Amino acid sequence: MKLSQVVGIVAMAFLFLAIYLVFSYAPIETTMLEVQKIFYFHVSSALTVFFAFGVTCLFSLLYLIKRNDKFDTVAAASAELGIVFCTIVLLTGPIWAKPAWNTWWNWEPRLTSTLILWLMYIGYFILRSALAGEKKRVYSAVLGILAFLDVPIVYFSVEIWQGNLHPDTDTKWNLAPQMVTTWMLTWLALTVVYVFVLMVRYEMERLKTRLEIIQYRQMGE
Amino acid sequence: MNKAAPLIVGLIFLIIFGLFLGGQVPIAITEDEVRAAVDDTIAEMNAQVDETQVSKAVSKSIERLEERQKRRLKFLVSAYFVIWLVFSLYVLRIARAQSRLRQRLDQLESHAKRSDDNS
Repeated sequence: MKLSQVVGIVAMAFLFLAIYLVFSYAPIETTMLEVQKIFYFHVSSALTVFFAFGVTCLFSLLYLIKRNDKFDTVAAASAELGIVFCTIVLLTGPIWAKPAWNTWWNWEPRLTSTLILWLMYIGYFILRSALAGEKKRVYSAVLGILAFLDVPIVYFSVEIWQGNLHPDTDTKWNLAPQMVTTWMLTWLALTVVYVFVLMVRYEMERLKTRLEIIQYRQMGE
Repeated sequence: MNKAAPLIVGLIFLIIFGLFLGGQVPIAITEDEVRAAVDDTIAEMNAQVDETQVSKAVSKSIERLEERQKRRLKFLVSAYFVIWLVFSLYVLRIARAQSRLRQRLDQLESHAKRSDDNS
């Protein structure tokens, strides 16, 4: 039994448990009522985005120091997953915003900085597809590190620019204990899902590289 | 293992689904129950009230509450639909890339086999 398969089963179990907790265990919030249940996956996805881009930043840095292709593979796979989770955040955000703020989108600091973060990592992949070889890996590693600078800006944007739509970073601890438990477990579930897909993507990329080397050798013969 | 994995996942799903069914169930108050409760309250108060007006007000309130709940549930379902749509599309993309890799690997293997046979 491969490690990625074990992680996959654990990820599914956590995901089902998270859904159970969201819809059956967590109490209905008194102000937003049922709509508040979007919060668990929306916020947990946002935190997974920070983690994914953090991994990209770390492995990009490691690549620049060690020049090992494996680090570049992990950085790119993690950035791809970060984009997937960031897309979820950007799509579920407006669905939350409409009943809460009576608008689908607002150029509020956190929303704007999150959109910029998403665009920067889209740029990361445009750069990777435009270049090749060593140049591709070095340039994308530099962009992977620079783009991560937006993560603390997204997190502290509410405090920095005094945005009044998103709550402060401390507000989350005022939730009911059942809500905190549900949120923490959803966050854990999405993190395990992230680890699982990262492992699958990494294995795929390594296989792809090996195939390219074999093909190159065969062409030489 | 590949055959056992969906079984394990299915089993986990059934356990969670069982827990969901056996656990907290949303409380649904029917129009008749509300009407009966209002009638009981009026009877307890021993006051003179226009029952037709009260009945109309209760019906209107229930309609409004149901409309608001429908709207909230629409947003909730949309959000979770979007989450699963994004995940599904991404998983589909990975699965396609994986099958392309497998095809290429098969091609290379058969090519290598032919080369060995020729030599």
